[in-house]
Amino acid sequence: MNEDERGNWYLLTGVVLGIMLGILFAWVISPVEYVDTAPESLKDEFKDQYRVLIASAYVANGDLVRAKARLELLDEADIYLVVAEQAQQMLAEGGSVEEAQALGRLALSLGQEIPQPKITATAE
Amino acid sequence: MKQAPILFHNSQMPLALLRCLWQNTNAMTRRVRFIIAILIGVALGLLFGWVINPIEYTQTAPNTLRVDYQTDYVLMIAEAFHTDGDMALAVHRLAVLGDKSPEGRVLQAIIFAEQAGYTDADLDMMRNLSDELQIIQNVVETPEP
Repeated sequence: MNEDERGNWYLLTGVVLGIMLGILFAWVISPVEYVDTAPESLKDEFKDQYRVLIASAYVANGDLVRAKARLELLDEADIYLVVAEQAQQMLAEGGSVEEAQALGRLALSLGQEIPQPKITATAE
Repeated sequence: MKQAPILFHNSQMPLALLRCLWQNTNAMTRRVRFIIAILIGVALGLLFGWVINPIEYTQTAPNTLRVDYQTDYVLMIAEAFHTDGDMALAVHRLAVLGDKSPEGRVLQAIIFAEQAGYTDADLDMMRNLSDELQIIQNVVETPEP
């Protein structure tokens, strides 16, 4: 068969084959390595450890601003709720009492910062 | 002296190469064109796999944290140690930061903290942890008579 009669579709085949090889290399053989990650990307169990550490440090220094800044690195919607839940869960599962207490103290301090709705007396 | 012909102007190179690949405008063999097509595909695949849609790691461990986060992690351990004095717990917590020895981890954090301008109080706490780790290390290394 003449070269021209066979058409140029082999080029498309080559490109597709190349893309497959390229993706195989990029995703499997040599994927992008993350070595400079942020705390928000941590696995859940490590996030739990991170929170315990934040709470333990808070108990030591009493710096709520710093504790909040650290908790915000974990990128969670409601940091108070997450810390309070972890404290309860830790106690329920028989974890370290000291760590649960530290989490509880932090949760309490965070909870006091949440603005309470104002109750105003109305004249009858 | 015979001058080599200028095939393509630089800016038109990719377009001209594609035209050359698709049409039989020069003596390039079918096999060579096929190999070039594969190479273009590989480049596109790498671009997609490394830049456009790289694998995202969302389940990372503390040892992959950026150095400033690792330093803060060490500081938190030092702060907690300052209160509870639990060396075993501090060593256990430092272990998640990687294979390096606990002393090495703390020293690395101190070096970064000094460069980054951490407060003296923070530096002191990390130095205290480092000193305590050093004492334990010396005790472990000292052979019994």
